[in-house]
Amino acid sequence: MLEQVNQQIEVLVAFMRNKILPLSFRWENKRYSVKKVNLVNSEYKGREKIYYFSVNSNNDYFKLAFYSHSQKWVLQEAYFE
Amino acid sequence: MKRVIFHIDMDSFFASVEQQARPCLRNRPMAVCGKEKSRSIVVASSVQAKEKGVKTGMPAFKVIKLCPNIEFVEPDPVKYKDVSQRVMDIFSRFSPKMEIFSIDEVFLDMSGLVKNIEQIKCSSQKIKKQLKQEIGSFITCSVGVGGNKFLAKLASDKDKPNGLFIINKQNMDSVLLSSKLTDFCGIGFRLKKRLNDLGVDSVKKLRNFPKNRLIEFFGPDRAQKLHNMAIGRDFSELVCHRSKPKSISRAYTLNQSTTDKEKISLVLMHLTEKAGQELRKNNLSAGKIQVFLRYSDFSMVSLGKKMNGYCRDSQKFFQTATTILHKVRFAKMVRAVGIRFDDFVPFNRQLPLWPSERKKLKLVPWLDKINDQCGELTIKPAYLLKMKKLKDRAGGFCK
Repeated sequence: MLEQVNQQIEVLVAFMRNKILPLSFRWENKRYSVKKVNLVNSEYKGREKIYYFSVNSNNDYFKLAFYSHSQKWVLQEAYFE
Repeated sequence: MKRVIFHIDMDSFFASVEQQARPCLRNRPMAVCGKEKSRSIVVASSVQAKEKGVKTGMPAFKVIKLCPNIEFVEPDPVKYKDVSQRVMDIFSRFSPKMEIFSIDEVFLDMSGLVKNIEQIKCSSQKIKKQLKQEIGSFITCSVGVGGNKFLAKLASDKDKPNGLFIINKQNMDSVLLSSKLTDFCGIGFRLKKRLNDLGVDSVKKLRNFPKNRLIEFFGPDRAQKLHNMAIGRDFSELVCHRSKPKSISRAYTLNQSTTDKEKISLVLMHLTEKAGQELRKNNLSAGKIQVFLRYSDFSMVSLGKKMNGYCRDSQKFFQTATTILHKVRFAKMVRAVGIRFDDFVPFNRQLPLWPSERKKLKLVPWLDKINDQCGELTIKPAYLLKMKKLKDRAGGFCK
């Protein structure tokens, strides 16, 4: 079931070889560890460059967005099996 | 083989990107399409959906009849554009001569870079490997190799998905003769019908059809092209640079068919704003505007008007578009609205005579700059406050 979330969240990330790698995040008092980054894409909205990370945590899918100008992380979508 | 051209075609590109992003969509029928109950059409579909008969361009309600368990995913054009750019970056590492044919297709001139079939296979594997490593394991491509662009394009359709097909001197005739006319890039449904009317329904018949009769029916250029296709000849070079556009158009399918001119003119204004910004980005001025309407029975009407001189101001375009719109008497309900600018000249920086015009000319670039920095239509005509922002549409395919 796909859910549009759009909530600001806290994400633990690693910076590796010019890349940002989300490791885990907290949402609704639960910690999710990122098992796999499926796709990374980006877009400009005005001067804000947004990086989208489509990630898997076990069997669940999430779409995280990193707003590079305002330095915030937003959980956009969640899909639970 | 003197020339070696690769044609790389991404397999079900938009659908693969969605499947790459969301593993839950993998290995099942899915289609990139608008909402299930909307009037949207399929932009791309997964291999499993294609197996059930789902085709690009099919309306959503037909798709559900064919494949009731299909999953619809709304298109995300920004995502596809970004992934496409990264894919093109990978391809550009393999040859300095590259022609971007569409958002998911590219020609590479590999002449001199590969010398035999083994090297062709090796390069193709490298391309596929890099795609897998840098974009994702679900993003695959089919590679067609031939002595010219036409043969390479034909070859890439022969082994899909994730295949490699080489057309060389040995197999060229058998491949050409076993192909359908519509397999050829440049022969669509209409041209096929015209050829059928002449009794030409196969490549063999096209090859044997007298050239002078082809010229009689299609004119010298197209006749020569058709004849060349039948014998697998194509002298065209790769177009490596991006030329300036010859026309700029924007269209939108309304949520509900209507005859309400105010509603239509609102959409029209939105479209002129978008197309106007594109025009200014390309540093062009347009001398002609065209408004086209698609009725609910899919018939089309298009009306054009010459601008009073060359122009690049969206407001002026909108005024002209409105005068065109008011001339139209709707025969039926309007389903889609579109606008096209053409007759381009490079932007002439000469200042207009009237001070009010001069002010406007100075203002427009600043408005564009603000919209660039703060997001599309941050500053817009007050008239547009009446409606929500139109959704971006995914780009189509080119064949």
